[in-house]
Amino acid sequence: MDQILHILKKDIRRLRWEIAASVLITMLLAWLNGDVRLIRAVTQEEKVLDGLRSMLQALSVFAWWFLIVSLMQEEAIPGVKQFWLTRPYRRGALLAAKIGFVLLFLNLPMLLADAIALSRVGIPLGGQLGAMLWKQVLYSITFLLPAIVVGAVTSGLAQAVLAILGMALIAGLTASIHGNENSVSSLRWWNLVMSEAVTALAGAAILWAQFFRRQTGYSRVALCVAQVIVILLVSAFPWRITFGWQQAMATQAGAGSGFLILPALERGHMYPDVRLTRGGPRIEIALPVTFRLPEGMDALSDAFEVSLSLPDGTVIAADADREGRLFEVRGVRWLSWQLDRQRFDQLAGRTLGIEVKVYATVFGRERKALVRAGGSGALVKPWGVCDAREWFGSLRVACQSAYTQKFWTRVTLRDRETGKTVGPLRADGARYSPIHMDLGISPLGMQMANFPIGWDKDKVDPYRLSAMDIELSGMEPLDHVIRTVRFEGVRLEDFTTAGRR
Amino acid sequence: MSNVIETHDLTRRFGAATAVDRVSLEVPSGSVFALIGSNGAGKSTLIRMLMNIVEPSLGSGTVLGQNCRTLSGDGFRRIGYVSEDQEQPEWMTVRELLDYCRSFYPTWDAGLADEMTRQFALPMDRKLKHLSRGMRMKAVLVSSLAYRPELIVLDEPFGGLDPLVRDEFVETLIDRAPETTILISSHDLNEIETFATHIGFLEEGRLLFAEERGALADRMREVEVTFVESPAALPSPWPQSWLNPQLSGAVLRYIDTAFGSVEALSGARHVEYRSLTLRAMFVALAKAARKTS
Repeated sequence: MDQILHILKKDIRRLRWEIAASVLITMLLAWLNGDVRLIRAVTQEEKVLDGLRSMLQALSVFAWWFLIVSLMQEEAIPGVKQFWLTRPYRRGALLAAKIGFVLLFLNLPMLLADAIALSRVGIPLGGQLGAMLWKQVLYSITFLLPAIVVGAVTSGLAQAVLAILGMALIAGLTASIHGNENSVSSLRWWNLVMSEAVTALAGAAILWAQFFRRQTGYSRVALCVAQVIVILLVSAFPWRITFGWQQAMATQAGAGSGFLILPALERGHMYPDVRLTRGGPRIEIALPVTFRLPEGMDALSDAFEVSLSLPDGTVIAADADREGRLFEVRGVRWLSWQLDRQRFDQLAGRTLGIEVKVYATVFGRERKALVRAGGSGALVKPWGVCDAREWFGSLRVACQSAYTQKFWTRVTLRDRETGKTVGPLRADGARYSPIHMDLGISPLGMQMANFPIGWDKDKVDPYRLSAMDIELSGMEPLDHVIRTVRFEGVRLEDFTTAGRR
Repeated sequence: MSNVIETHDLTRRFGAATAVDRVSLEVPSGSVFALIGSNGAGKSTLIRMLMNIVEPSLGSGTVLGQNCRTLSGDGFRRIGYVSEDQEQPEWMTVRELLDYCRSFYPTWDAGLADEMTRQFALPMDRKLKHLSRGMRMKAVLVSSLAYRPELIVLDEPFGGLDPLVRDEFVETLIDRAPETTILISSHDLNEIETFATHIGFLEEGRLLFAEERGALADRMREVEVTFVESPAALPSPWPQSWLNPQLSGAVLRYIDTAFGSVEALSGARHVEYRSLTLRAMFVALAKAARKTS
């Protein structure tokens, strides 16, 4: 213990300015993260602060890495010339001193920073301690451990920079070779769990090999291999397996047994707001459907598999592994997916059968709360601090919570005097994950919905804003199911304006 | 006399190159063992293997009774190691360096440290990076001797030091010699000659010999033979104990390593024997080794 403290005190003396800079950046970032005005930076001052926050976010990671690499290289492990190699350093004490330093000057300030940001927003810290500590575990594995490992396998900052560039190159090459085709964003939580687990295990193994065996060559190879494995796990792990595990971990298995998706072609084919998909030559096809669900439950899709077949049953195109959407507009459900433009052009006018296999999450246990529009944010459990304000021609309803929430929310506006309702809209920002895997730097999660302001039927009357009650309806994920819906004898061009250029 | 260091076939390869080749060595307790050899002979690698800085490819070694492959932590409380190219915490002042080192060693002798810092006139509040090379080496020497180590290992400690500093260095080592064992590798043979009790000669990774300096001096001498008239050719093969024979007219010079019978040479008119300095021995052995290789 004496030796741990002795080395720790030396490192503190040596790195005091770096510690001060890192802690200052972390605290400044926390202060800005907790500034609710920056959710919708409108004024010049808010925009400047928001820019500063983005800059500090990047700078904070740089400062943490610089501090950690400098710390580790105070007693660099690779090489034959370091003075400590022939001094009575106990390797375990050396490692413990380094870990103690990281806990004291990185994890503790990060924990305080999270507490500051949450407090500034108005979220009580009581009851958040478990989540805050778990977040520290994730911070440590995501941001700190890789830096500790890089510091342990390099000697000198130039080597460390080269190692980081090399790791980035390996990551880029691995990702570019394998692509990201197996990744489905709503099921990425398991990929992240695995990558964090591999990072933690590889990091621990490399630190052991370095501190207790000084096997730098093997450690560097292990670092590269771990890097490749992590990238492959994130980009290439089969999402169907993840969905299967998600089913096995359902909080209320069987709750979704009554859930059905049925075609609703009688409603008309065309979704009114069909658009070309952003960022690529893909056509969005929206199919009208209805749900059969028990009262107080709803469903969201995790992934789609779509196959197109000729009337004789021959499958001519299987567009699997694609992310689709099950969404609701004015109480009407749509099942939307994307098709390559080239394939669309070939098939647009042909009579086809469309089979969509939907991997869905069923939600229930509805809870409701009311928020007044305007004014300062109010604490609404379990959503966090919610408010509703005008923002660039819309009414933005935003709820800031501690970390990302895993229940999803529908927002409905209701005029207290006339009883008129607008919505419901589904709020963005929730992420279902059986294991909390929020890897962002900010401790705040946010669910948000934007209602356009205007005099049309579906818009919020600007003169009635202050009379609006905001009804939040939240549901928890209960079960995960696979449902298949078939559309027979249809043409793709009937479902999109893209075919009618 | 027990051995403080023992090695058996200690070998280190770097790829295809063999830096140290099956070295078996014994450093007796209380000795001042000088490891000599030309550049690249493997002296530093051998020492680094003994200090567990570099892992041996083959063979074994013990230092103060401990396997050199596991030497670490508390094992270094009994060893003082100084190397010319060792990286020091340059940001520390001399005082900070000594304070920092002190708590690692239960046997730290503050009085001895004070005495040596005074003797070396070390500026206590100056950072190591602002010290001259000589001053820095002195500070490191103090930090490595103040706990009265049982074994002092010095790897090329005199490199780049001016003669005055070398003298101070050597005087300090001589002061310590009676109570410790010293293993020193150096090119500075004149300095070593003043206090080494044992000599080990490394060439191309191989230990050609290791023995007491007195025995070596007794065994090696320069021989100059003057013949009555110039011999047409020298006898072949030469005795293996003759190194670097040179025939110049009627005069033959060589280094005799085993005191062979010179009088047996026919036609010898006059034979003269000269004792050798350590430097002369080193040069003769190095030349002979290169010719052989």
